[in-house]
Amino acid sequence: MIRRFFRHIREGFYGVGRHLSMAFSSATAMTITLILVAVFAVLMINMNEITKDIEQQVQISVLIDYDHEDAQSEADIGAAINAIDGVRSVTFSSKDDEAQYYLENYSQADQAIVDLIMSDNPLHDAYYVTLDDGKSLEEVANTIVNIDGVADVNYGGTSALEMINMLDVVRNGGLIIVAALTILTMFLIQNTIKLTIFARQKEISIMRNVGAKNGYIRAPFLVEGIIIGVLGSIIPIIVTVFGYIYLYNYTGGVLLSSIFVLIPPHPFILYIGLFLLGFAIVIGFVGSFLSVTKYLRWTR
Amino acid sequence: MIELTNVKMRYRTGVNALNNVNLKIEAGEFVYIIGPTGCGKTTLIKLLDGELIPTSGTVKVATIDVGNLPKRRVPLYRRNIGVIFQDYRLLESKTVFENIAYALEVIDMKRDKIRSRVRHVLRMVDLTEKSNAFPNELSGGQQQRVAIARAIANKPKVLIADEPTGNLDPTMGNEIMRLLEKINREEGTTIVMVTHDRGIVERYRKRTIALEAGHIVADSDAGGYFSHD
Repeated sequence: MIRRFFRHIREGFYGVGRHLSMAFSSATAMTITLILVAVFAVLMINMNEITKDIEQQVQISVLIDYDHEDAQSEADIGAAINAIDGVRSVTFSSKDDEAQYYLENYSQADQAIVDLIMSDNPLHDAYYVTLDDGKSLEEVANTIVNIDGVADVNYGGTSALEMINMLDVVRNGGLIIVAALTILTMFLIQNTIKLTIFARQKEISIMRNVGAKNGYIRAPFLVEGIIIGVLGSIIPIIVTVFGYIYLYNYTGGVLLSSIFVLIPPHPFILYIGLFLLGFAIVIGFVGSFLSVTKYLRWTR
Repeated sequence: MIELTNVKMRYRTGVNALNNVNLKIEAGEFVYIIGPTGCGKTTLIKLLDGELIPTSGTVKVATIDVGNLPKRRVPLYRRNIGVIFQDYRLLESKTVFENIAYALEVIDMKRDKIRSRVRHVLRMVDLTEKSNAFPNELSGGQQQRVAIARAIANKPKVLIADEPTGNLDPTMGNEIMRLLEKINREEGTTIVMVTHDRGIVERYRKRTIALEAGHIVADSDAGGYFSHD
């Protein structure tokens, strides 16, 4: 068994060596598509993180009616909000806290407003609500506004929803592109290996003549597919790892605005490198498997 | 050893390659199959090595019903028969030794056993000194001897030879014939040889089966087929 295993490995390497130009063209096809896969994977994962961050930052501020500012009413409102599906946390902020926050963050505010706040605080007691999923923002806000004692809710309105939807579209678009590229790479590899097999029909017929089973014939081709995958992934891995580190250092980890924070390269980019290697191996293996199996199926 | 009963082979294209063929070849026999192009010789060989399934009838080799053999059992069956071809079919990237060893590696023979068996068959075909040569460094006759060595390495009960002298000049053709006779005589291997070569059939007289348009039209004993002409 072990002897046979090493024989297949050896034959796989010989196969690549003997059909260098075929192996080279397969590996090149793999390299080109893997670079695209890497770009989209990095983009998609970053986008995912950004969306997650934004979704977590999105919160609903719930203003409590002036005539419900007693402890019991506020506790009831808090409990009612907490009971809504999709609510992650509910934090209370008194009107004094609100005033404090206002004065700390808007130090340039008009003196008249400062005086007003200091003399007779017009702000509301409030609850800040965060959600498990940003997509339920509108629905939860609509439920909260109907709770007795709630004066108003504020969640950034349609602009927050549009932002979340846009990020979702980018993320899903990236996913579709990666999936399409995966299929494309597999077809390219399958096709090149099919050509290799066509060129090696004689070799396969000799294997058949001496009584080799399909598995025995298939194994070196699978090893070849894996080798081609590994060879094809070298450049994409280098490009991705160093490219991302460069991009991160160049931009300081921030794109356009502080909302778009890139994932730090370590260990993220190493995982991406490993993913590309694994991806290439799987694609090489599956591509070979499909083409050899297809050929072996119709010959007895 | 080989028995064909009412074998009919009709291809999808509608061509009837064999029609109601009945044939019996005993163990240890050396038989020629002759006939014009398109008479069904290659179909017969493909039926014998399990590549084709007869449309009707039975093909039995060493009691194995080849036509009803499940696909996964075909490789195991092929290990009991050796096949050689006009174009030798050697692996160009492997040496003579490796080409022969390959047939034994496939059946998971241990390395030291492979080595001794390959040396034995190389001695038999008189190519010991060419052990490390590649096929393209050999003459046609030598390449065919390597193919024969590979075919008999696994001590098959039956050796099927498809025009083994077709690409060779008469001297080399004679050399191959003498080698096949030796294998038949010394190893007791049943040999079925398809040939076009009238000279060979006349010089090395064996039982000769003539096919024409998918029918057996003559089955003569070792007395010689062409002596009737």
